[in-house]
Amino acid sequence: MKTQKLEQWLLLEQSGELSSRQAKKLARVLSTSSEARKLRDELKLVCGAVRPIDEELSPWTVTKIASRLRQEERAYPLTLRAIKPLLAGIACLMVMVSLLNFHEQSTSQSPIIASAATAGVDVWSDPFDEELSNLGNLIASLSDHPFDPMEM
Amino acid sequence: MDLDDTKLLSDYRSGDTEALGELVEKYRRPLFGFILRFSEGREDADEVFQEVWVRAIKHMNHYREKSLISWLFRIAHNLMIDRIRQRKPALSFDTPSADSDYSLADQLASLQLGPDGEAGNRELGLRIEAAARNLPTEQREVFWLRMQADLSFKEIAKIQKCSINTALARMQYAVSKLRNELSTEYRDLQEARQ
Repeated sequence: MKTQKLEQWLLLEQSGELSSRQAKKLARVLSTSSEARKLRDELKLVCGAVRPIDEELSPWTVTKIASRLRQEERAYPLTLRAIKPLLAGIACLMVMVSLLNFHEQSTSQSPIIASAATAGVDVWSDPFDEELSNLGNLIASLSDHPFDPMEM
Repeated sequence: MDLDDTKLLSDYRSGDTEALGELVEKYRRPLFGFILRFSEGREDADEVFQEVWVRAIKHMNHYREKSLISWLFRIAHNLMIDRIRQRKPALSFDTPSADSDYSLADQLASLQLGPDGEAGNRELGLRIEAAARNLPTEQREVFWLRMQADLSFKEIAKIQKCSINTALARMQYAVSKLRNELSTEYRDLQEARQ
């Protein structure tokens, strides 16, 4: 086994992350190689020599954390969770209002359209027809032949 | 998340400040110890520690980790990186550190190993701590996350957003640098033990 891999396995063994298959293989290497045993001893020495810091917190730490959290809550009373449904509600309301508006406009215009339809007047083409017949009459009065607009 | 943590968090949200105290105390040793290793003193560490908890609880909605400790260390990691970037250039081996008038070389030299095994071990620990300050940030972080916080390499990889192999390689480099720097002391101590 290469030294680099051996070191990695020794580190994983220490952190308890070595699989049982790897652990068996490592045990075999350790039983046969003195270099491997030396490497493990050195690693143990480093880990054994380092003492984790175990300092007490200042007595006000928790109080300070709690008061900072309260301040944050007061500064932002509406969290995103509360704002999201509110925004969705406003959007729904706006859609409903615009739908109602549209419906009202279309019903208020409908009597004009209905009366025009019953009178048989084509609102859009009427001025054109009138002008066309005036033009026909003008041409007819200028010439001797009766004017037929379809011949144009 | 741990069931106890979930209960303590929900108790705190219902107004029980003592629940927050229990939660903070539960993770005090690994978290505060780790922060202290990267801070410019106790006050600075205390400030960072508070900030970690405030951010953790405030952004609990975004919390996706399986364990609270990984989430806390992830926040601590981000805070420390920001602070280290804001600070002046890293400590050099020969220049005095911020919290001491002596250079790292002086500090190492002043810690002579004694013949007694236990005392020698303690002194070696102090020398390792002093030498670890000279490691690159990523390696130093892996080293202390493993040694101080006792986190697995899987958790360390998550915190550093890298692969397990990268975390392992960083630890290997750290240990190997420390071993080289303290080779004489190593030999002395091993000989004293034999």
